[in-house]
Amino acid sequence: MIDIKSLDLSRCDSLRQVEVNFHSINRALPDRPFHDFISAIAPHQLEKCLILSYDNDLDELKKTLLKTPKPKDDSTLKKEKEKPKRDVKVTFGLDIEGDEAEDHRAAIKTALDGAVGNGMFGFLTSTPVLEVYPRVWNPSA
Amino acid sequence: MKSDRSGPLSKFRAFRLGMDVPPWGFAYTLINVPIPFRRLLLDVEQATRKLWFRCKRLNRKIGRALGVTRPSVRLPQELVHQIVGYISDDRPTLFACTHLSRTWCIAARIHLHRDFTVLDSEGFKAADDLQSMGMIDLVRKIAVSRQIHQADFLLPETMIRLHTFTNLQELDIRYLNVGQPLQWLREHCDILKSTVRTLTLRYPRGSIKQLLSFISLFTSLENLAVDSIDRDFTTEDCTPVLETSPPLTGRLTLTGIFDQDFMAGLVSSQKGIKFRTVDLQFCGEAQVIVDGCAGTMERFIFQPSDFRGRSNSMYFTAVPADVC
Repeated sequence: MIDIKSLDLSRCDSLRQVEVNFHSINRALPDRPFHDFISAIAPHQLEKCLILSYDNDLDELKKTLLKTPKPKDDSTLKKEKEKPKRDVKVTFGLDIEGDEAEDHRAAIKTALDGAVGNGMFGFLTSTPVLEVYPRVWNPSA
Repeated sequence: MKSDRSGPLSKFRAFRLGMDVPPWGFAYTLINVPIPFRRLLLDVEQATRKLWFRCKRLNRKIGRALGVTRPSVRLPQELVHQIVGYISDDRPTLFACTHLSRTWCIAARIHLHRDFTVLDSEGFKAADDLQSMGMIDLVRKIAVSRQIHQADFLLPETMIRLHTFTNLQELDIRYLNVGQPLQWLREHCDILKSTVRTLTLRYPRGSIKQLLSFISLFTSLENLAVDSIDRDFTTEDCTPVLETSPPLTGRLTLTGIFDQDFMAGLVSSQKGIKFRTVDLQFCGEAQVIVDGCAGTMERFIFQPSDFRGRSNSMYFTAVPADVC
């Protein structure tokens, strides 16, 4: 079985855009999925990162975003401060529709604001944004 | 003029004479009218015709005074193309545009005949109609969707019809038994090989060598999509060596591919692979593909093989390229 952790993207120097679903990075990197995933990609040119979530991922996404950050040691704090912030535009794409879509969106937005407040995305220069994408049938199915 | 015949007088005549007015003329109607009244009717016809045209002129003057433009304004061809481009997927509207005027017809039919779908061996007969109308060049994409039970479909004899499409840029084939048309394509179909930019193979059957040879035949191929290979181990040895190598610089989409030999073979093609977008959906170990495109890959899309997605796993989102 392949997961995102087993793929080494560090040599992809021209990589500018990554699209991955939330479940795959959360399963591979359960502690700090967003930080660890983006850090694993070479920082030279990466501009955009789209993290897709489907309807049955929403609870997990909400939990991850609302996770209380672990208290850090002084050495860890120092290391993080020394590291330059990544200039990557992160977008959370929600694949939801129907009557409950707006409620889901509002709930994830609240969780995302909380995560930004907790410093979960402190390693980024910009705040992540939330988008809703309509369902599109897979033509190959 | 037709408008004169079917003008107000025609209705008048029909009412007065209690008969249907033949569309081809007034004189025929006069046969049934007593002679003393014919002169009178002709005078009335003439007077009404004058009044009819006067009203038309007046109507036009009023329109001009009020700034109402005529509906058939002649737009430059480039603008019409641009407008029609916005409705390129709306077939009923495109079809309506073909009836509007010659300019709109030219612009609309480019999109109307862009895709060509063949569902069985009879499907290629429609290509003859297009060819007789001189519109075969408008077809840029062919989707050949063989049904599983049609065993003799997609044989070289059937596929030779693809040769008629001289401007084909996208080829999408389901259930292709790759070994069968390979030799024929190699020998006969030079036009097809040089024009196709995008190749989609869904559930192809054949050995890995045959698949790679088939792909390498398309010398201008930029985008490649392969969905779930049905590997045939029996014909593995008798396949000729690759001769050419397509540029492969666009998008690679692999769906449900677990075969390491196929991935390794693709990477080790003559010129190597230089895809700018790599899309791996439910694939097995694919580090070899990532390494092969490491220098050129700008966009990476990944769904793991144990993708759980939705309760209905038949679909996933297709996010526009410039969305995030």
